[in-house]
Amino acid sequence: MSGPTGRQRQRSIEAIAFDIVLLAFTLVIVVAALQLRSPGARFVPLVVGIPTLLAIALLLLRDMQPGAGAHPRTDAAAVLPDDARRLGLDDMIAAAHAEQAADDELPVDPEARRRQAIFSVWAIGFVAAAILFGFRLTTPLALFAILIVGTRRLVLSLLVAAVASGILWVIFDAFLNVRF
Amino acid sequence: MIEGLVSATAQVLTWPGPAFIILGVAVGLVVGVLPGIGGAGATALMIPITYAMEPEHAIAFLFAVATSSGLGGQITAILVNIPGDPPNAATTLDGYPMTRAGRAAEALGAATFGSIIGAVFGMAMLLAVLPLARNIVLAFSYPEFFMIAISGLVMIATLTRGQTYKGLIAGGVGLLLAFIGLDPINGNPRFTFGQLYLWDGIDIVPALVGLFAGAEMLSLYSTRGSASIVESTIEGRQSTLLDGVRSTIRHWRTVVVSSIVGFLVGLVPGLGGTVASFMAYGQAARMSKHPEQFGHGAVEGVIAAETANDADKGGGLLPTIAFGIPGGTLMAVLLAGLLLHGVPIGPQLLRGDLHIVYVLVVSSLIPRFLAAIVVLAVGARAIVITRLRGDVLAPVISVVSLIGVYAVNNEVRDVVLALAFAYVGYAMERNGFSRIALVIALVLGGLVEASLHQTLGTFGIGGFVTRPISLGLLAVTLVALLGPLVRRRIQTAGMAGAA
Repeated sequence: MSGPTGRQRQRSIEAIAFDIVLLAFTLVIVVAALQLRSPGARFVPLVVGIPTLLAIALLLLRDMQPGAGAHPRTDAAAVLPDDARRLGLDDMIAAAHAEQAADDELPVDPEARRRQAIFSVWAIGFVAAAILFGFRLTTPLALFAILIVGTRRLVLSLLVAAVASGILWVIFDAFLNVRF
Repeated sequence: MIEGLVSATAQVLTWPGPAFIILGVAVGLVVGVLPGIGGAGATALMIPITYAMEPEHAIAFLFAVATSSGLGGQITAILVNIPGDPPNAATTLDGYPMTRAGRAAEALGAATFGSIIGAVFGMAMLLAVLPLARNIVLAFSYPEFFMIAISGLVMIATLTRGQTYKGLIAGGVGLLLAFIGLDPINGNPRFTFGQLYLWDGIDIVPALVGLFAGAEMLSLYSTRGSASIVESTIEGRQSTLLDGVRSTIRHWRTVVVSSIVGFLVGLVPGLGGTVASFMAYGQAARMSKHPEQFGHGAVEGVIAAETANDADKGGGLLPTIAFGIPGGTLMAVLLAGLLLHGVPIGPQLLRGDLHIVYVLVVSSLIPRFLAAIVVLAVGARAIVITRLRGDVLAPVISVVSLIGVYAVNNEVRDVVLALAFAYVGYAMERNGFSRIALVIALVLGGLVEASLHQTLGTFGIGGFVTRPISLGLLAVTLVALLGPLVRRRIQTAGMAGAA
């Protein structure tokens, strides 16, 4: 029997990391709830928080087991039933869930992953710049930046950034009086 | 009722309502045709930009986006074997073989006409069942509200795709997020960590936009444009749209059964349109005189899938508006849109006149008729929309929605929150946690806490088991929670016995 592949290992690490984030958040809320003076204010958060904390801790332990924890990935379109007339209710629901799973999966080829990373960093940069300089200045510049990186076409990027920024300005600033 | 519907129609169609409907239909059809962005994600993205609209127009606009995306999705499902939205997947099973056989126009006509009938049936059933739901809701007290919220959450955690255990964790985390803000007992800030911003709690709009649109935008940006789709050939032109309409009328039994299946599936939180369309497809295959044709271009398969997919919306609206328990992702998104515009949900809505319910029904149907006309008029030519580049659309849509999120409260921290939720949503999706369970818990958290305190204060812990409706809901919760476990045990024991 072969061991976990590199991608499975990466998925396991991602799963453990996310479990830890959830655990940390829940722990913070539970500790903060324990410090509340009013019994009424802390009652329900503790009723929900403690079982959730335990459940996440168990999940973390399970995900830390070798070869476990990684969310199974299809990396492909759902397998649809070939002969639906012979399939039962469970099969049809399973086919529907498989389709939903395939739809939710992100593309995983290296180029797609690179583009996802670029877009993720750009989104953080856009929000940071908007906080510092406001949306009015940030919007055209950020749009142009991501468009030129994505499309590598100067005229298209300039045109789309200018038109989109203009429309946004008309809608939000001039029409809705949202100062940004 | 007729007067109410006429009045609601007049209100929805008051200028600039028609403009918003046309815009919503255009957006819905485009995102429906484009693989990679679904109707729920697109509707979530559009919520922030509706904040300045009149509630009736905002509802019509959001419904236009939500309902038209399904009709858009059927185009690619039939013509190129790629469903625009997951609920259109069952349509590909026979829709694409029909296209290969030169019957694309018939498939499009049947799917569109079936969709319209399913939608009308679903909404008619909603209006028919509403008085019953009204009586039930008006009999509710604190224990029932607590139990319906909990049973809805448990059903969503157990019935949506993914692991039940992770679904329950997502629900727990969502509830904890909902407890951030002023506590309902003393009105003191709780879990705000000194941030005045958090006193009002976690706003549903940035959470929803981030959770559901973040991963979709990443997916859309990953695709430069679907060249392979455009290059596909649509073979033969041996049928007309009218053939599809005739086929739908000829297979009226399939239409009726699929509508009923769709409506009933819609009523159950956590199942949704994809399950409805697959179940109706299976049922149509079993009912058919020619089951061997299914999977090879049976028009009944297309009719069943699309009819159920649209009838499901009527069923999904019932728990959403009557109990505040959205049946699925799309309904959760629409519920957030209603809450943003101050539309009361549950008893508050049903106690008064039902004007807003009529607005919802009319808003659901008018855009669908318009979208159907567009689909029938444009037909296969709509495939050209797939030429739009994902790497151009995704940044523009993201900027529009983030500025929209800011505009709701003129609060830049809402934008930061939306971004944070986008990464959380992405991580949840990659690791098999239900985003819908988290969102619905976030929506229901306040009701859960308040009704639990009120029950314990008024009825004591016995209130949950001494009142029939509450006891029934408790039983439903336990069955939803333990049923799959018991069933698995029985199946395992059966297999062990057979071995």
